[in-house]
Amino acid sequence: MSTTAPATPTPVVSTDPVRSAPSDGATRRAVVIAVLVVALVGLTLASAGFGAVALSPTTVLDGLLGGAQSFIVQQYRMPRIGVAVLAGAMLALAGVFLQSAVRNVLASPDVVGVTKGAGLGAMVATVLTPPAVLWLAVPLGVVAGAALVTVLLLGIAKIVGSRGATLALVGIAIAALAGAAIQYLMVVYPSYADQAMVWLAGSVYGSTPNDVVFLAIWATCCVPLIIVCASRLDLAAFDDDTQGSLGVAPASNRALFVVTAVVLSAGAVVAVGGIGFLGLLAPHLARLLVGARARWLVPAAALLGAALLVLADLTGRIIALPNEIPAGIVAAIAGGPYLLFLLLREARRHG
Amino acid sequence: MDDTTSAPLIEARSLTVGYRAGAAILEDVDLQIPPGKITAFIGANGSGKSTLLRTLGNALEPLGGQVLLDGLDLRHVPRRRIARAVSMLPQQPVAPEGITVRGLSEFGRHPHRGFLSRQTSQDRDIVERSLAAAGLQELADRPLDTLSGGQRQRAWISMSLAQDTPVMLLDEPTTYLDIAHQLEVLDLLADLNTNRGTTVVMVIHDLNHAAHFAHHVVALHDGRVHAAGSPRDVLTEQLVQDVFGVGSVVLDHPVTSAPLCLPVPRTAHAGAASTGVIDTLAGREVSTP
Amino acid sequence: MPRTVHDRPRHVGAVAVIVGGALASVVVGLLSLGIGPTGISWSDSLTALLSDEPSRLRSLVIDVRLPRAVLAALVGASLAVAGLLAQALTRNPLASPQTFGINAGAAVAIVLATIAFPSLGALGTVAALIGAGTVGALMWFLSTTGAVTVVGLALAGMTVQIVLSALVQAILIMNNSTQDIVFWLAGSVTGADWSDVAVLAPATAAGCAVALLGARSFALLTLDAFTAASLGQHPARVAGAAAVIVVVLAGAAVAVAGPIGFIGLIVPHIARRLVGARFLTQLLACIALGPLLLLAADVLARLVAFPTETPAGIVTALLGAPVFLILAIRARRA
Repeated sequence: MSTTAPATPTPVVSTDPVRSAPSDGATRRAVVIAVLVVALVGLTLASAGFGAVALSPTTVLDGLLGGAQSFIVQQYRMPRIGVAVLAGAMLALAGVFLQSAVRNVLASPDVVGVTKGAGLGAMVATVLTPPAVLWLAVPLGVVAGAALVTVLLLGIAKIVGSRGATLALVGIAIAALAGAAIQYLMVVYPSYADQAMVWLAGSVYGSTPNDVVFLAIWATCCVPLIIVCASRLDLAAFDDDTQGSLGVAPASNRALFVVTAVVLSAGAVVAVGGIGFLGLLAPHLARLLVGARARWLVPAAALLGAALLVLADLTGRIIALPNEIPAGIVAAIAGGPYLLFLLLREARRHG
Repeated sequence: MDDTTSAPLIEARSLTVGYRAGAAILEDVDLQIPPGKITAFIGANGSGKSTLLRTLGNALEPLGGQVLLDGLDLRHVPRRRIARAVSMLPQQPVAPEGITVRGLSEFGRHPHRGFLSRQTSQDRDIVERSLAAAGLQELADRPLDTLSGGQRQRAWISMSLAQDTPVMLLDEPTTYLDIAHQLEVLDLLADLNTNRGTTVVMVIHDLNHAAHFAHHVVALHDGRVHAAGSPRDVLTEQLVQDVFGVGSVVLDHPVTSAPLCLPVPRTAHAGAASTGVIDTLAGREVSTP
Repeated sequence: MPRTVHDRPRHVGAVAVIVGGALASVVVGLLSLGIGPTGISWSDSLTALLSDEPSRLRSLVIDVRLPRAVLAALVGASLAVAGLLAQALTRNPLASPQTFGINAGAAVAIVLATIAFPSLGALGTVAALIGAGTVGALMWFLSTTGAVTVVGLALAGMTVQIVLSALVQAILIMNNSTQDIVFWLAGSVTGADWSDVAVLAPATAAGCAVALLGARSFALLTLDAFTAASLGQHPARVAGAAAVIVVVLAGAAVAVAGPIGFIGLIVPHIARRLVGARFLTQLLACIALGPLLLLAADVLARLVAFPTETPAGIVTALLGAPVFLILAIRARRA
C-alpha cells in the first residue's frame, strides 16, 4: 500500500486475531470423498468377484497376492478393472477441464469431437495398416486424430474468438465431420464395421495387464498437467475481464484445459475405445455432491469416473448373460436419461 | 507490489481502441489519468467509454497507440505486475457458483500469491480489512447470489480492495442499482479515495454523480475525447447538447455546490411559471418558448 | 396496398429464387437419372423415360432411379420445412431436426421397432413419429424455459443424440445386424422404391400444405408470446401446430431415408439470405431449395466412391458441418 496515503486507513476492524475461513462444509465434502473411495474399492472387489467363476472378496485379495485363482484374478479380472479405474478417472477429469474451457456443463470429449476424432484416427489406422502392426498403429492413430481435433479446435477458435460458446460450437461441427467420416469408412470397408462399432462404443473387454501399465504410465505423465489445470480451475470460473484483472490470461488457460482434456481422453480412448459419455456424467454428479471448488471437484470427479466405469462394466457383464454389453453403452444408456432429468431440473430452476 | 511512492500514472498515447481492426471506436486518444483522484468517463451509448476503460485495464488490445503504466507500455509489463497495480471491475462480472463474500475477496489476493501457495496470515488480514472497508463483515459468509445488488457490488469492490491495487477501474458500477445502492457504492469509492489515495476511474451514466463524486471528468464523443477537466469546466449546457443531443439547464446543487445538470425533455414546455422559476434560479433571462 | 420502390426488387428476387430453385431441382433430378453404378448416358435415360416401350433400361430408370430422385426431392423438402419451422418455433438459428436429436429419436424408434417386428413395413413410420415426437417435446420444453441459451440448447440436442445413438449401437451390437443398418443410419435414399415414395408423399404434402396455409400465423412465432397474443393469436396453439408439423415431416423423412443431417439446418438459412424475412417466401424457398440440395448431395454421393454407393447423409454432413460452423459463429456475433 502507498506510504503516502493522505490519511491513515479507517480502523474499522478490531485487532482480534483474524478468524480462519469458515469450513464451508469442508467436513461434509471430505466425508463424501471418503465414501467414494470406499465405494470404488467395494465395486472393484465385486467386479473382480463376478464372472464365469464366482469369487469371494477374500479369494480375490488372495489371488492378487499370488494365491489360488491368481491367474484369473491377475490376468483377466484385475486388468479389466484397472483399465476401467484409470480410464474412467481420466475421462472424468478431461470432462471437468473441458467443461471449464467451454463454460458449459454439457461439454464432454464426445460432444466436442475429441473422441470422434480419436475414433476416426483409430479407424483409419485399422483400415490402412496390416494386422501385425495394429498394436502400434491404433494408438498412433488415436493420438493423431485427437491431436488433429485439438489443432482444429484451438486454431479456429483463435481466428473467430475463443470464448467458451465458440469452442463448443466448433467442437460440435468437428464432431459431426468426424462422425460422418467414420460412417463413410464403415460403409466403404464393411468388414470392419462390426469391430468398429464395438470399439467406438467403448469397452474394457479383453484388457490385458499391459493395457493397465500403459494407462498407468500415461496417467502419471499427465499428473503435472492435471495439477496445473486444477490450480487454475477456480479462477477460470470468473468472467474473462475479471480474470484479466487478477493477472490471468483466460485464453491461454482455456487452451491449456483443452490440451489437457485431449491428452487425457486420448489415453483413455486408446485403452477403452471411443467412450466419452463419462466425461459428461461424472463431472456433473461430482458437482452435485461436492460443489464446484477445484480442491473437491477434481478428486471427486476422478473417483466417480472410475467408479462409474467399473459399475458400467459390471452391469454390462451381468445384464445380458451370456452376452456382454460394452461398458460405454451401458454408461450412455443409464446415464443419459439421468442427465436429461438433471437438465430439465436445472432449466426449471432457472426459468 | 509497486514500490512507487505515489500511485502509478496511467496514460494513453495516440491510443486507438475498438474490438476489430478497421472498426475503431476511439482514435488517437491522448489522456492522462490523474493519480490519487477520481476520474469519470461520460458519453453517450456506444461512445467508447467501456472500450476505453477496458483497454486501459489491459482487457482489450489497443488497435493503435499505447497504454502506459508509469511510462512502460502495458504490453511489455508482465500480467501479474499489472494485476498488482490495476484492478478492474467489469460490467457484469461472473463469479464461481456458490461462492461466499469472503471467498470472493480471497481471490483478490491471487496476484500476490505464488503458484500453489497457501493463504498467509497477511493475506487473511488484508481480506478482513477489505471486507470491513466495504462494510460487509456481517455478510462475509453469505453466498454472493443471496445479496442485494448494492451489496453484491460492494462485495466485488471488496475483492478489488483485497487485490490492494493503487488504481481501481470500474465499468458502470452503478448502472443496475437503485438510488440508495448507487450512493452506497459511490460513497464507498469516495472513502477509498480519501482514506487510501486510491486512483479511481469509473464509467458512469449519471452526470450528476459524476459531477459530485469525480475530480476529473472525461467526455467522449465522435471517436475522440470531447472534453476533459474538472466537473465545473466540463459539465456545461453546451457539452450536454453536443455530446448527448439533449437540452439542459446546469445549476449549482443547492447543498453540495457541485454542478447539477437538469435535462429538459422536448415535451417540457409545461408553462411559463415553471420555466420562469428555473430561469430565475439560473439567474438568466429567457423568453418563454 | 402501395408498394414501395424498396419492396419491388426483393419481391422479384424472391420469386426468381423460388422458381429458379424448383427448376434447378427438376434439372438435377433428371440429371441424376443418368448417374449410377450401371453407367448409362443421360440422354439415354431420358429417352427411356419418355418412350413407351419396355426395356431393361426403362425399368432401371422407372423403378430404381426415378423413385430415388422423387424421394430425394420429398425428403429434401420435408427436412427443409421442418428445419424452418423448428428454427421459428424455438427462435434458435441452430435448430434443426438433427441438432435437436429428433432424427436420432426417430431412428431409435425405427431400429427398435424393426428388430421387434421384423416385417414392419409402413408401420415403421408410426414408430418414427413416436420417437421423433418424444424427443421433439423434450427439446421444445427445454427451449421454452428461456433459461437455456442458443448454444446450450444445441449442446443439449447433441447430448440427446449421443445417448440415443448409444442406444442404437447397443441394439445393433446385440443383434449382430450391423452392416445394413450402418448404411441406413448414415441416411440415404439408396434402394428407394415407389412404396417409400407412397409412404412419404402424403406426409410431405400434408406438412407443407398446412405450413403454407398457416404461414401467416407461423410467421408470428418469431415474436415473443406476449406480442403474438396481443396481435390476436393463440401462441400455444400455433406453436403446438408447428411442432406437430416438424415431427411429422422429420419423422416420416427419417422413416424412409434414415437420419439425414444438415438439410434442415442449412436450407432455411440459405432461404433467409436469398429471399429475405417474409415467412411465406422463406417457406416456398425451402420447398424449392431443399430438394435441390439433397438431389445434389445424392448425385455427389454416387460419384464420390464410384462405383460404390455412399450414403447421401455422409455428403450432407461433410459439406454441412463447416457451413454449420460459419452460421453458428455468425449467429453468435449478431
